[in-house]
Amino acid sequence: MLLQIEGVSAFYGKLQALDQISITIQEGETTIMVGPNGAGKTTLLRTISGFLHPASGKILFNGEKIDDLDPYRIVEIGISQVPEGGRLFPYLSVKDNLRIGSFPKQARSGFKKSLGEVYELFPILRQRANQLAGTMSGGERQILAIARSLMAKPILVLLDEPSTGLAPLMVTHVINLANDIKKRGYSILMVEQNARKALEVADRAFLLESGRVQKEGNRQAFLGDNHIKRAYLGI
Amino acid sequence: MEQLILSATLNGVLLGGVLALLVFGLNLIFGVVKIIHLAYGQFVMLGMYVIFFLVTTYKMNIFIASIISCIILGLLGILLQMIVINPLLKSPRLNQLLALAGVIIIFENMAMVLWGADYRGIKLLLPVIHFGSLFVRTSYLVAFIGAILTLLALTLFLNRTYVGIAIRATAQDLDSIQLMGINPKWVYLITQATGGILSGIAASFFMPIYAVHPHFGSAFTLMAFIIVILGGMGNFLGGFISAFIIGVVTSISAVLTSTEIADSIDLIIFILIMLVRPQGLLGIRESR
Repeated sequence: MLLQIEGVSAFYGKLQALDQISITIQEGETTIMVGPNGAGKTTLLRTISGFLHPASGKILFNGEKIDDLDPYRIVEIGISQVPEGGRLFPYLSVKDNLRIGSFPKQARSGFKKSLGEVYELFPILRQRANQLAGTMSGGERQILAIARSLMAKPILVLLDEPSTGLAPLMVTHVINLANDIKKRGYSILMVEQNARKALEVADRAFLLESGRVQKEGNRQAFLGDNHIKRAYLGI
Repeated sequence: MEQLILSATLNGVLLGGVLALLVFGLNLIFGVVKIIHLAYGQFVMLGMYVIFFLVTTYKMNIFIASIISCIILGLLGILLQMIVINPLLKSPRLNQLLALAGVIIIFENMAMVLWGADYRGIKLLLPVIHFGSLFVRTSYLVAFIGAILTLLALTLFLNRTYVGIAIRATAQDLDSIQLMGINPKWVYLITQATGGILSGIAASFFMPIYAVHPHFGSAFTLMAFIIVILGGMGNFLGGFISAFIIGVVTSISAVLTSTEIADSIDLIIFILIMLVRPQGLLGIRESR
């Protein structure tokens, strides 16, 4: 087990956002998280990334307790996050965005090598290397955000709604990118509104509603569930 | 008369270079730490005292004294961040301003107790340079060249090094830099150290031009903030341009009228520009 979330509850002030969440993420797999707006999906990712500390329960990464670490430490131990909208640095060039992605000590010396790999995976970024990130199109920005998260040499990549606001063709493209990344050996936890497309590349999935895990299982079990079909797949 | 005004313009441009240095420090701290560093002028004042005493009492070379002063102010910037600002990072802006106003009172009174109210300057016999019929003070010329070189070095630092890029990234998105594995508290300390060193460099170039006294900083804080706001808060290019505008206006109006009236002419121009462009010359409305 790569990531183990055990009975995690979290609050925003007095408002409970996560209620006794327990899930596990396996190494080398893509796990999809689906659920309606306000279910706590982003909150769960922010809790894993250390922006929010659980009020109860614990989070283990490779068996080590990580729920009291600050966000920058979480990246150093191997968990990168691509936040919703990418959150690039708009006034830095594409290359500088990638460079800052390799800031953690273990990644910095390998910057040139990682850059080569990322350019090979996403050739568009090589062409745009000197352009300001803020001037790229939505799809290109999302690609850059994903590429940037790989520069830190992560083990697990958290993707928060990578297809938000993209044209339908681009949605498929970005979700397929997530699958390409998995094939390169990264483990993935992805929140995705386009449940049907995302489930095509999933190994496992779980459903979050009102801060609770309502369903959990492998792809087949998930696709076969009537509630999931009606509410999220529109079948 | 024409030549007087031309000379004044030239000296104003040169003064603008040093003002640009101060404004750069303020903009850097505002952009990254999101704090209005009210006590910045007092940093310059302390730096000038350090140089003065190292040179007069310890007979130190003014160049070495300036470097030591920069190091001390860099450390002071780090201490200010750790002791005063870190505990107030999430407090309302008014509390931060009050705390920094407190720092001003502490620094000014400390200077008064330690060194008294006398004006203290270092007499350097520097020649006045003539360009045809124009004359330029060497101390201003040295300050200008030094300021421009410092700004160039700073630009390289911010664009070419990991630390520099991290500083710029922090100014753009505080959440996102933490997802890059960067500790914002660390960036704040580096930024304050950089700001402190910049105030030390400004102090070094001011030393041959002005005599220092415990309230020396206040005059420059006001001027520096006028320039920062004129250029647009946090806008480096705007601050740079405004520094030269204010430098030239001050210098010309001092020749045409008197030094006292020159200060009010600065303020009148400032108010007029604010009426037309409340966001500053290059500022963006409601950017933050």
